[in-house]
Parts: sequence; C-alpha cells; structure tokens
Amino acid sequence: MTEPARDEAGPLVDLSDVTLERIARLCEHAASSLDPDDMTDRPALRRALLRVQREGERDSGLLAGFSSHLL
Amino acid sequence: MSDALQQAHPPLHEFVFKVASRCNLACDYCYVYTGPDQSWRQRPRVMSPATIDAAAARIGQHARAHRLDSVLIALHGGEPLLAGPEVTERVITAVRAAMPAGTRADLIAQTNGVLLDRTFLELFARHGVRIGVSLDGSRQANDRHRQRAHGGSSYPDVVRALRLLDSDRYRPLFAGVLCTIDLENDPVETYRALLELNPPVLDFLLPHANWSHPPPGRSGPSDTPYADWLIPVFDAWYGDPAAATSIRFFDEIIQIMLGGVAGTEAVGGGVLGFAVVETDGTIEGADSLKSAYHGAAFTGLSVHAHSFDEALGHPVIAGSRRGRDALGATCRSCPVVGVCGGGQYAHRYRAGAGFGNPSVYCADLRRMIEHVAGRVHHDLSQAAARRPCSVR
Repeated sequence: MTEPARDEAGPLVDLSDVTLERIARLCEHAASSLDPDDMTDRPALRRALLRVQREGERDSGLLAGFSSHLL
Repeated sequence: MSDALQQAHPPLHEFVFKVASRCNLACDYCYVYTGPDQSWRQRPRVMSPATIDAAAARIGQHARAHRLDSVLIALHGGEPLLAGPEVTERVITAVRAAMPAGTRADLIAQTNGVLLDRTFLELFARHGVRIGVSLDGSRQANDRHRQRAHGGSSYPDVVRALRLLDSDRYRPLFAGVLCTIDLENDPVETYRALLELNPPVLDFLLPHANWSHPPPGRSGPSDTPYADWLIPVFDAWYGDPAAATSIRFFDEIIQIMLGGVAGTEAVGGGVLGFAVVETDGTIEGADSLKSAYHGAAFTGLSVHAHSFDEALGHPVIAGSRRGRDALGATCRSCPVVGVCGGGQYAHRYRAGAGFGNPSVYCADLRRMIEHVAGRVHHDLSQAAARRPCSVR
C-alpha cells in the first residue's frame, strides 16, 4: 500500500468537507502504518488495529463469525 | 463441488442448531414467536436423536468436502436449554464425532439464561462450549419485554446465571451478552447496567424491522432515533481508557473502516457463512429472515435427505449470501456503503419489492457510521501527527 500525499489527508479534525469514503481510506492506510501501542488510551481502536493488522491478510471476506443473534 | 461452483457458493462455516423450538420466556418482540413466520408451531419441541445424528453427519460431510479447518455450531432455539442436558450433550458429542480429521468443531450456546445452572455449566465446561446470554439492561429495562410466559420478571434468574458464568471456574466459557435496543431505556444506563455483569463482549441489536414493519419509535425514514440512542453509548465506551468489554457492533464498524471485514450480518455486507437446522431437520436460511414474512427462511431441504452443498445453491440461502452484489442502486452509490454494507439483509425487505432496498435503518446507520468515523479519524490523525512520516 502506498502512502497518500500529505495534502490528501485533509484537516485533522474538521470533517465537514471530507467524505466518509475518504476517511475510511485514510483509516485503512493508518491501520497499516500505526503502532497499536500508540493507542493505549483508546482500547477499542487499539483492539481493532491489532485485529486488522494480524488477521487482515488471511481473511476470505466470508462472514466467518457469528450471525447477529449470536455471540 | 467444482471450483467454479465453490467460488459462486462459498462453503458454510457456521450451523445454527435449533435444539428446542419453544421458549420459557414470552418476549413481546421475539421474531420467532411474535413475527409473521409461525412455522415453529409445526415443529417438534426438541431435536430427536435421529435428526441430531443426521445433522452432525451432514456437517461432517460438508467439512470434508470443503476441507474446512473449523466449523461453529450454535445451540439455539427457542430456548436451547429446554432440550435438557442429555440432548445437549448428545448434540455436542455427535457433532464432534462426525468431524473429519483436521476439522475443529467449536460450539456456543445462545441462551436466555433462565435455566443456566451448575449442571449445564459443568456440561459446557467439560466440552468447552461457550455461552452467550440475552439480557436487555437493568431489571426495569429488561422486564419491559423479556417477561415469563405468564408474566413475571426473568431478570433475577438471568443475573444469577451471569454471576455464576463470571466466576473463575466458568469465566472462560463466557462469550458475552446480547441486548436488543429499546428506545424507552436510557442508553448509557443500559450500557452501565450490562457492564456491571462484566461480559467480555456486549452487543446491541437493532430490533428486527423492515419497510413494511418499521422499527418502533420512528416517525419517518430520515429519523435517526437508533443512532441517537447508540451514539451516547459509543462515546461512553470509546472514550473510556479502561474499557475492557468489546461492543461488537462498534468494533465491527471501526474494523471495517480500518480495512478489515465484518464478522456479523449487521454491517459490512459480507457473504453470510451460516445456515439453520430446525428441530425437524429442515435446513433454513438466516433466522432473521423470519421477521420479513412467513416462509422467508424456508428451503424445503432437510438434513435427512439433502446435503449442505445442495442448500448452498437454494435461492433462499444463496440470495442472502450475495453480500454487496445483492444491493440496489441507491446503496451502491452511497458513500457509506463500504462500511454499512447495506445493513442486515432482513432489514431491507419491503412487501412487494423484496430485499433490493436500503436498510430500514439506513439513516441510523449512516449517522452512526459518520459519528464513529469522526472519532476514529481524529484519533488516528493525532497518532499519525505524533509520528513523523506517517499519515494524517
């Protein structure tokens, strides 16, 4: 994955002119470049980063987890 | 199965076993008993030994044919514990015995918790069966809907079971707690009440609804009462540096934004990997389809006569397994579709138009996702800013 140019990253906080699709792209890129241990004060984000970085490549795209009425 | 067919119809990995077709609670929102599909009335109360063995053999056959590393068997109902410990143990041992070498069978029981006592917990501990429990929050919140058949609270028995499940001996079996959202309940109070029970995972479920039967408490399609309910919960959870409990719905959204894929049918638009086996051996599609119309999940196939490979091509199973290919033009052109995936398939239904619509929760999903995106983007940007040469 190539790193997007800085001018593509958009504002840090103001999302008013940033589409969700673009945010998702930036998040996806950040997921591969950030250390989850930088996220200790955001356990949910840290957990997601760990999971995506650990499992992302081997995921088939099939819903291998549970259906919504199960845990 | 040929490679081409396998690509068109990827194998199933999860099998929902309806070991008992009745329930000891009378929840007024239950999609099985109060929904349009009343097929439970014609079904045996408990899965027979012959059906258990046939279903186990079919799963083994499927695992062998597709060289599956693992399968998940979910003991479900009705209330699965009504089948009793003996039948439950027979299911577990039959499934494990039917697996080919190299395939692991994981099991989970999804229960209302009322009958979950030491006898069941010892049985599940012996066989490594994990347990999910349904509870809607505090006593007042829970008893709004989850009443016993003749009235009366289910809460004390469920909380007793959850305390036992959280004890050292059984904690490894604790899968989590499912909560169906009721807008009448305070969101953060509900979250805190559930958190007190220390579940490793919590999930908040949108009530099953569709365009012909809209969700309770919503006055129009652009209303977002469910997002308005969920956002304070998200903020309380996401902003808590000590939060150890996962909230599956939120975790899934964040994970998809980070480039991962969803693990449930609620968001993400992945291809469903499961089928249901009813107490009579009937193979059906996703249980949630029953909330759409009578017979929506029905295939006419049975483990007594058909393989799961035959079920893969059935329109009911294949239709709900098309993932994002099943989405209509409105969804395909939406900037949020990459995350919501069109929402849950059953929630897209409209009588006369089928399932090719946006979710009835479309506006809620969009607002929720945009809120999560804002928080996640802000934090990732700040983290990136602290690291030279990384992304903002």
